[in-house]
Amino acid sequence: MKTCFRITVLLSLVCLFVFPCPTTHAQSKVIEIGAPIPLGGVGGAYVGIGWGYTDCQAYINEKGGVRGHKIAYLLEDNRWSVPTEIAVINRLLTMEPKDQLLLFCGNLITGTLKAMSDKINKEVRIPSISLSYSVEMFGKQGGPAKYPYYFSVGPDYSQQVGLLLRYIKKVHKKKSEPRLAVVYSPTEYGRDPLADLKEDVKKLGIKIVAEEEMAITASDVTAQVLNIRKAKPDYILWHGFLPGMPVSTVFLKTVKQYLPKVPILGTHYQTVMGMITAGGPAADGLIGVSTSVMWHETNNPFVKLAHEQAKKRGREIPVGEESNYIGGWMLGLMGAHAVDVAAASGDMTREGVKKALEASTWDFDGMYEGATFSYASHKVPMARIFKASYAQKRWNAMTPWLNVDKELK
Amino acid sequence: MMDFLQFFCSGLLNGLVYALLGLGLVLIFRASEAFNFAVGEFLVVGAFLFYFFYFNWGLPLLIALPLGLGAAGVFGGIVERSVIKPLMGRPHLSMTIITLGLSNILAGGLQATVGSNPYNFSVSLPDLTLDLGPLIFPSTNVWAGILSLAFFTMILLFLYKTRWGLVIQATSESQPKALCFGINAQSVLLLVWAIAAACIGASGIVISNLGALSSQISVVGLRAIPVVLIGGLDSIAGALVGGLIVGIAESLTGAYLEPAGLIGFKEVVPYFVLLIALFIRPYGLLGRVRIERV
Amino acid sequence: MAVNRTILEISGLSLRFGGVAALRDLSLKIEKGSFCSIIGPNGAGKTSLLNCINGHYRPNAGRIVLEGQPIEGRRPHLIASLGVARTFQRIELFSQMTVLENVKLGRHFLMKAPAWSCFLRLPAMVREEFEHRRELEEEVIDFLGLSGVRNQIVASLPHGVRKRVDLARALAMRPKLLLLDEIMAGMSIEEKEDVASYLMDVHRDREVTIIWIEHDLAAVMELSEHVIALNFGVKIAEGAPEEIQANPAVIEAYLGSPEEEQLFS
Repeated sequence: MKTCFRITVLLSLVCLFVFPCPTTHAQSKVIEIGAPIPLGGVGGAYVGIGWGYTDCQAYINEKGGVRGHKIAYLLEDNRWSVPTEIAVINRLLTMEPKDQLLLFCGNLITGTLKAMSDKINKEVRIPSISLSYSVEMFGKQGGPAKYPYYFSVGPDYSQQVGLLLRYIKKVHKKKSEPRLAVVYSPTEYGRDPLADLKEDVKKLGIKIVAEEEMAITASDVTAQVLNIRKAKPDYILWHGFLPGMPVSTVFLKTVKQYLPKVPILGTHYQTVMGMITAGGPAADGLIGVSTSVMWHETNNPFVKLAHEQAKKRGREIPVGEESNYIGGWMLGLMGAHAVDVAAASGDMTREGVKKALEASTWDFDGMYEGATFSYASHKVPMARIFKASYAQKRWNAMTPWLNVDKELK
Repeated sequence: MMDFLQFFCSGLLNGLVYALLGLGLVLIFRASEAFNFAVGEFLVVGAFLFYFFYFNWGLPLLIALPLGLGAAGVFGGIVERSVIKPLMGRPHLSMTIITLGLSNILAGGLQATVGSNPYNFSVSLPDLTLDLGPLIFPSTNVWAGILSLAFFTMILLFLYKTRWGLVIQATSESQPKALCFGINAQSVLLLVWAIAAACIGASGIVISNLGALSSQISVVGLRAIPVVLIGGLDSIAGALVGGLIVGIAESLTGAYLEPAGLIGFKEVVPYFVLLIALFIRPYGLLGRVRIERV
Repeated sequence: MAVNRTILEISGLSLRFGGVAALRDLSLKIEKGSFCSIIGPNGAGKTSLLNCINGHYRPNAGRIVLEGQPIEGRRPHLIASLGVARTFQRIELFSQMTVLENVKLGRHFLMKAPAWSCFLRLPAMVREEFEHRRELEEEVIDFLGLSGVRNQIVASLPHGVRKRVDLARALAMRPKLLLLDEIMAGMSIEEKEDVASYLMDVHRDREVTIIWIEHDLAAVMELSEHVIALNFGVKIAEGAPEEIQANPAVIEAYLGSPEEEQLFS
């Protein structure tokens, strides 16, 4: 009897988690935006993104929504896992009405984009704004011609790496050509920019002296770092790691001890606040290219808005989540803006949103500090190079906003 | 040659950490005949307990370390009382299986309480960097080796030089016999789980200090599986031997095989060594051969 | 007072393994300081009775009262801590440990220093250990003539010596009640004589109550003061050795009934 009771309680608890109460739809049509975000798994939890969405949703709906329609971001945990994210997307596509679920904007990891490319681009045709910067999806091999419904919020990894290589050329003082060690994770996104990188260094006259792979689950990278040390590099480029991966900090700490003087340069996901909180002193002096603004740049109108809204909603952003919070706002506002433009042109459908995105030159109310760009390539071509300061607990900008379309010509 | 020495010794230092981790598993296996699959979560919990005392409360290391390890021990004891003790007298396999479930529950609990983001974990220890010209061993690695070895030795002294250690050995060998001796086998099991949890927690602290602390370093705990299987599940010396073998094998693989194109082989090589070791000695290099009488 | 004279009182004790009854409604009283033997043919339930007394088996019915305290169904180590020690028919020693270690293990539950004090080597713990060690050396190891082998691994010792180590281990537990399960089985005449004299010494000098199961009836009759005969889990006779020797029920139990004998002859 007691066991029976316990099982019943357990089952009901499980049911509560698995089948939450159905949401009641409001009278006027609610515009839904599917937003898979990582709340756990191999890359760590990016709770801040969720807060960004939530506050963005409240902000827009308090203003009266998008042309009279309330907006709802359907937050789902993707656990950094392709199967989970695919399941989430499929579920949303099946359950939500076609005229309400107008787009996805969220994590949408490279693997998911790859696996779902036919379904999203040919079958369902729903615009999807992703946080992936995959070369395969958004670079030379992919792009709008091949994946017309995929969008990104920044330059692809090859372009980011290109910016870093040019930065190296610029700061390199020695007579000899810069010696570069490349470290990446043996993952889809980690190996993504390699081919382009190797072409690019030839053009620029940079020598790759070491090339090391580091598994994202590795707990010790002494061998790799020793190999790098043997090659005597001037710079280390690392790519394909997230602050939530234990290996990131292990790598930073190990390099700091074996090669204390060699600067480390990273792409967007290595250039987030989480890297400073996780790495601690070892993250000091990291250089990285980011497609986003930093939380402390309160002069930036976009950051100002996020600050105001966070304050208004009593949201304390813990150190380390700032980049994620801004990421949530970026995606949220971008999606809402696209719906807004589509509604203005009287075509509030998935197709309309796609057209709106393609035509967009919207700069998040001035986030890029007046720099202009075109979104025809389905990616915002803007990025900036930052340097980490552990003492200040922030990333300081080293360059103005760079437009890759111009910089990498 | 110098290269080889460098990689060999780096592997040795890592191996000592693995040995400590393996020791925790071996102690539990000897006493409860259960393989603790929740070792990864034990590792994270132990490290987090220390984190609270040292980083959150700012206690000095010499106080925070015993407190943290003590708390890890209490945690191990709680697990034993709530999960393992109710299964006493059932087949040993059921204990092993329940640790699988326990591992999932703890992983979820950790995610809910501390999240899955990394915590900066840099214990301020005197700089012990060994810079010998061509050979260099960073301070954190040297400390990892020293701390692991010290803790390992302490446990060994306790086990082999004290009365309670004798009692643990006796109970591990046979609970019914221990009962005949008037030994309260259950409280001994509690003690063993506490010591093992402290052991695993200590290696968690050392491992976190090499990188950052997050609930994800629990995957490192799985490295203990080849360690104890190579050395022999019931052999304490085997944990040391297995740990060193795995550490050195990983390091040498990373140095010589991975650059040759076998990238990621480092994660696999412990299992390769395990396979070879089991071909030679099915009960592990130092494991006791069990003769089953039919 | 009669109550004080009784150290162990068993009433209505029954033990079943499935359909087989090992003990059936057994009642008996053991007087304090007595040297009592339990005899009976194989399968009479002698070892089962000891197992019930020291907690290895949980009886299906009945009471076991040790000095006024009911102990039936308690766990073995609790019963041991009340002063019940036992030797075993199949020796239950830690064969990979030395004689001294085995004896020390027997004393463990009487020592108070907690585990953590061993890490710190507190003086109180060291002192306690030292005192117990001295006592064990004198009163157990030297007493049983084991000083020559004290640091040898038990597995390397001959059977007779191991039996003595088993007794040493039981004595290390400072018993009030000593249960001996066929301690003389497999011993040579000389060894038996040695053990007999040790038992007499223990009984007389240390005022230990002994319950002894034995197949060697000659030794039983010579040493014990009181004999209880069991058959098929039932007490069939009780009394002084001479009475038991003459008891027809006992003779029948050992030799079979005259009718059966005739049947088979």
